[in-house]
Amino acid sequence: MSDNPPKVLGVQYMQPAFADIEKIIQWRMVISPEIAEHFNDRLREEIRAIRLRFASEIAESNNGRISLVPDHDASIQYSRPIYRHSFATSKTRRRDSTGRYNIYFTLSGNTDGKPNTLRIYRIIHAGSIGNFATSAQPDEE
Amino acid sequence: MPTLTIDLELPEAEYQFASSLTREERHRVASIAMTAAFATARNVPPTEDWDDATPFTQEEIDALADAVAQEDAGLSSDGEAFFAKLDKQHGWNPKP
Repeated sequence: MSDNPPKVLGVQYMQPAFADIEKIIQWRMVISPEIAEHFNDRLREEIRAIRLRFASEIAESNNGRISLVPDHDASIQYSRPIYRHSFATSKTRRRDSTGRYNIYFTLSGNTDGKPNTLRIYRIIHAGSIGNFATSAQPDEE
Repeated sequence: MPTLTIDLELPEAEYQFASSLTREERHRVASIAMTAAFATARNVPPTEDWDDATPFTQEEIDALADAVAQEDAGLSSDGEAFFAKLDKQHGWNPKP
């Protein structure tokens, strides 16, 4: 008998993701402890939200895929499909990268031929230059 | 996971090199690196003519995927201990 697809994806963090979180919190602590705590709250909220959202998309799909397209440069760096989910720490809509962070993740594990785990590789400020070596470069031609 | 390192004399040159590539060239580099990784996993020397490389069997691809998964599993965690430590360190209320 086959397993039912999970209603929420499991989560795994790679070590560089922890280092990213510590670095961001350290930087925000300099501004204020409240701002640092707010980031921590928003990040965890957002990760819970995407675990639910992608579990639902995977359950409804025939092939276990999600609606995002893999990030080109991150996928090359890790030699596997790496997705990028962007979130803002503020509710104010802004057109620049202020308070915006990217979560880079892949889908792994297997339940009934479909992924069951969100594996987080990096969490990086959206305005950081050199997130991945080629990210900051425009596509030629 | 077996990987191919592009070894340049100057560390700074690596970034300059990657930045100078077009999208097609970046695909090409990734393709070469993947071919070399598979060749290493197979324990055969990578061919210089990448386009003529023998296709890999599903078993070989699965074996490499398993090796990658095992390596990743050893390096990852569910974050529970990390976030609990973070909350304690900063005196934040524990979150679910």
